[in-house]
Amino acid sequence: MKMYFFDVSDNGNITRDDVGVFCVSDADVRQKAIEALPGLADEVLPDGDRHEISVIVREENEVYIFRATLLFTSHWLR
Amino acid sequence: MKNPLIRKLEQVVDLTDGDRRMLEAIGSSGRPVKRKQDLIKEGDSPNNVHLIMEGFACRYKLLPDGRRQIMAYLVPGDFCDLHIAILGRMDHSIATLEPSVVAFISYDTVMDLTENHPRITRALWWATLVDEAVLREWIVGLGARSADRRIAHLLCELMVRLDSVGLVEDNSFHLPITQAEIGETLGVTIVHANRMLMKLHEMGFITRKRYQMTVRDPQGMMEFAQFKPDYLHLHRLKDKNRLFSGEFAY
Repeated sequence: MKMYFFDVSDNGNITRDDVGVFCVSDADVRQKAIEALPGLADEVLPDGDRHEISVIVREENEVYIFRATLLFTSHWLR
Repeated sequence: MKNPLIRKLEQVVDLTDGDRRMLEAIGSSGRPVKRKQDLIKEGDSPNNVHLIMEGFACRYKLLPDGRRQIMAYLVPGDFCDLHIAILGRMDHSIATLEPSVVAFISYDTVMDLTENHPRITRALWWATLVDEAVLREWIVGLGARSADRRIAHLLCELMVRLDSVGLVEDNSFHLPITQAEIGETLGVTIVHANRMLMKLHEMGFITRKRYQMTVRDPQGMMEFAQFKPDYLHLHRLKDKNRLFSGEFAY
């Protein structure tokens, strides 16, 4: 089990994770990053017609290893 | 340290020496339980009532896919289901979150307590009603509060509850709950719980060192969380003017 840090990019504003989360495998890292996105989106929407939120996972040695992004767009059709 | 059950109940009623002796006897039967041990599991037939003397426990339910929902935290002085023996089987589980001291009380003792000690009985009704009020507040939080307020609200609640049994010192308390458990309590993912804790830290409300939580701005956090401690009913029974006077100005 290793410690990973889940930074969040909210329309490009990055919040660094200083606490970290223990994960058991790459699959666990991926799962935790992806499952966080809907909750993070819920926190910021509604907010305009475009929003991009990413979870970017960092190892303890500061190397980024995974990114999951949720892109929201909306526009009128009339 | 003073028996937390006596401390808790004395906030709301005046106990006699006899009442106190009875509660001391119950408390002294506590025995150590390791961390992450089930005190009772869903489906079990309950034989004993559990009383947390030291440590921390939670009520939880496991879903078929392995996900867990925590429905309550039990802190020193809390009974886990006073009249559970009336029910045939447990509909949820209770587990310790850290090494704890738990008194296992027979239902005969509970009956003796409630039949021969009217002041204790009244105080225990109060405790049961407060447990329900806390649950209602949690439902409101899950349904209607944003994740950051939900976490802040939970921390305010735990601070007030722990303070009422003398476990808060200089706005600081032991809180042996992981980010994963906060997530399982508030319906957020572990990454989200982590982010919200950092946000509360950045807002100047809390600092956290392993399992030690310090609230740097109780008033500010209570306002942010929209936390009103009324639902914890920390005042003398039948005397609404005499408010609980703890360390904080609520």
